[in-house]
Amino acid sequence: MAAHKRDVAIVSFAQTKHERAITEINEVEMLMPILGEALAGAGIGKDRVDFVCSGSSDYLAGQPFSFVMTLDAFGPWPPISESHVDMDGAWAVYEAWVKMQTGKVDVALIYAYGKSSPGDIRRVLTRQLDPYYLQPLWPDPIALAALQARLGLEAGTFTVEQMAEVAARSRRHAADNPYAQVQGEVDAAALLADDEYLSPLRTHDCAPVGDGAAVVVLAAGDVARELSDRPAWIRGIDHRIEAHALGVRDLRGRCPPSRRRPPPASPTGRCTWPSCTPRSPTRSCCWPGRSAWVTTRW
Amino acid sequence: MSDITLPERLQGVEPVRSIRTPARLDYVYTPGAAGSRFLREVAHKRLVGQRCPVCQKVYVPPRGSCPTDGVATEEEVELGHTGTVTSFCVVNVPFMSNLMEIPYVSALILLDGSDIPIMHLIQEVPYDEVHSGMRVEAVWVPDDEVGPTLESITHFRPNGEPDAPFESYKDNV
Repeated sequence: MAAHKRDVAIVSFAQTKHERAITEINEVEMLMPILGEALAGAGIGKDRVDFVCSGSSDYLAGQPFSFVMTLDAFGPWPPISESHVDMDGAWAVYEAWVKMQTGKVDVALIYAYGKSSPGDIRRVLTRQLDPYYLQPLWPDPIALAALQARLGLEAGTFTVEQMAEVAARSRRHAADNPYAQVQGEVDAAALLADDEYLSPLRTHDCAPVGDGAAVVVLAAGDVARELSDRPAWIRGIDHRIEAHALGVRDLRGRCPPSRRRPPPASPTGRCTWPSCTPRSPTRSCCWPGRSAWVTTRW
Repeated sequence: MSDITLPERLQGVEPVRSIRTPARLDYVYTPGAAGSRFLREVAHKRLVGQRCPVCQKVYVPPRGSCPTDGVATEEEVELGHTGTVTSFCVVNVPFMSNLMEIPYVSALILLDGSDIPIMHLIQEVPYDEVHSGMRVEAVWVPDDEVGPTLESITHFRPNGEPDAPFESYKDNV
């Protein structure tokens, strides 16, 4: 657990409405307004930005190097320091955070965007699997999640009621976010009244297919205090990733003993992983399976 | 690392040296607001770019933003059907299988009134006579075949004007 060198905070944030399909505008047009909004929120122009990092997947757009064209939304002139991750926005934030630890960057702008609607997302996401043994079978993420859920249910790791409660809780948490695609007060029991979509999963167990974009502006130390009256300090970053081969993962949700770590701190002592349904309040284990993970805390 | 010993029944078996796993994904492309405007105008045989309010450059086909300034380009500018060859290449490889007879010329053409060249074909002239600065004009498909696609222009051909001075296209080479 290496101590971090610099405090870094989110000083501004903007997002588009997330919708099932945004078909009228392209990615650049989707991003441009919220880039301006995020910069305005920090009270800065793009000349104050030392580093730009974006997260997106060309597989969603169906165009190689689509992320290069999306830079048009920022206007990278005079030449800027810039990077891209073929990952989500959280990973782009992490790269920027690491860069800020070097002391070379005081202000970073991170944007993430994606349109899942142009392709058949269940087929597209099969391409993240290994190309020799799994891709030729086209197992889509919902089918894989269903296999995992079946294992967990049969092993008694969790119940369909707990799965529905995760979905209901996520909707409740999104209730006051007008940009969220799926939101609102809903009873877990009501969700369970639906038919199964891909057994044992119901629709509420599956991520919605959505299009949208988000931007954050990060600033370090005193610069953050200068740019915001209420900077949101980043106190820890937790990243977990699965082994590539499905066969070596523990899909029932048990962390291997040698890798078991205390969960990220929270007032209740519970794991703060958003989708976690701990089997007991003190148990340091998450659902679904996380077989390899790294935690940075301080 | 020690040598791997195969089970007896696999010894002498021809190793797998490669596999083929073809994949195909279909996408619906969204040109966006700016691109849609452009393509709808093409269907009426009009070429319409968009001007950056900051640097005044005119982009075609427009993508809705100025890639230099990062601001929305909203003012529309109708462009001529003539332009200047800024650069070109003679294609000697049958990329398009039998659709094009090789050699053929693919060129960057700076449409009059715009600040960024588009790519298109140069025909109706021997390939070894194409040169930078050559003035060309668009050749459209028959009116009843014009649609919201750049294929509505089959190619460009020399329009007989004298070569454009280098100064007029020096920022695009």
